[in-house]
Amino acid sequence: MAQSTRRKGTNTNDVKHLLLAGAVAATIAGWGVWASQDAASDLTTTPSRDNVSAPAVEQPVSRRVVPNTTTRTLPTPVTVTGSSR
Amino acid sequence: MQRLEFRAMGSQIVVLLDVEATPEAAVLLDAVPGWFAEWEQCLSRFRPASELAHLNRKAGQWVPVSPVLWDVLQHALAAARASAGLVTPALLDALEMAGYDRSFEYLLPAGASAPHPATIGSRRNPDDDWQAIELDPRTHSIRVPADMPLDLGGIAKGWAAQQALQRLAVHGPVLVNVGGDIAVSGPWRDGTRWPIGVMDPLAPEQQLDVLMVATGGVATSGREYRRWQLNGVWQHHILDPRTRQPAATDVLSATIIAPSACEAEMAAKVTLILGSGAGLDWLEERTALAGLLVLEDGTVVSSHRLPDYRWKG
Repeated sequence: MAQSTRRKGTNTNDVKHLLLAGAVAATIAGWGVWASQDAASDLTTTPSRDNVSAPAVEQPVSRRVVPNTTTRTLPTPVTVTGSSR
Repeated sequence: MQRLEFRAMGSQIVVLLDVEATPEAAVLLDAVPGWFAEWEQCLSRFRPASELAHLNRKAGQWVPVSPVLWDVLQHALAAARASAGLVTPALLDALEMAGYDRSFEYLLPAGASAPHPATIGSRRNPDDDWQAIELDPRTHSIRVPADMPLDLGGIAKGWAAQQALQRLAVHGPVLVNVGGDIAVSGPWRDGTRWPIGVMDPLAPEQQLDVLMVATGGVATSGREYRRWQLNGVWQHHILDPRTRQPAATDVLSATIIAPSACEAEMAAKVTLILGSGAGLDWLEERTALAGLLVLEDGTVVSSHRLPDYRWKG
């Protein structure tokens, strides 16, 4: 059992198989593209209500305002995505 | 097209299978609710007898876990890594202190004052906590730090959608929708992409748009539906791990298209937490993602890759 092996702590080989979560997350199938990508270290900056992004009058390059869809006739979807219901 | 709907995991489940109506298809779809019941019994934080609840009670100790819990936790950790900790399984204590301490169906929108402190938690680096979880791949055992109970939340729903998809896709093109977390296996037999509506958070009976998706995942994070009052202050269920409080954001809802439902779920939460400016920048840097955001003032904005998916009538 890993617990007793780890607590004895006398044999380095015994604990080599133990992994911290970060090492596991780097290898999970289907998430490889994320492992090689900087997960944006700047995201760890603590926000405050003063620096929440507000809708800007002048649209930045990455922002594309979607045209009003009320003028379009949408097809009937097979299902809908929305806040979890 | 064969269709199945039922409730599980606190959500409406929709399964669509593009096959002929045969007895074999009926038997196949009849099995699906049982899969979800099994997964919910393992993964729910609201069920005292669940495997996740058992793991949380044994915090600080090594606990052997089932293949299901092992797999879902690995996806949750991958999401934490990909989001620099913004989407983390290590926020359960903060969620409960914010008042989300029972299944959402039992939370009153204007609930009575709860005996929780107004200050939910201290500011911290979100990329630290989840990395303290230890795993033993040899025995499939997990050790959760004593002060860090886990909540698998939205990642569990994305995982369930993907898992059901894998089991059904061998029979034909399939879509699985778990409360808005959608997995799609491939286009219909005639090559048509799946038309998926995007709910308007300001008018839930209406759709903002229809996305045409052939394969991968679609998910929406929103702060309008799962919300409640705590000591007279509105709370919502998308917590910012940096403050351990409901995210202060100008985004009402974020809908993301990604290679899988779990990735879409993670990216939708990140975009909502970051707000429209930083959130869209984060999306644009990741070429596998496209997103549609609804802001507090009703403005609808999108990433530059979204038009690839919008229905063009």
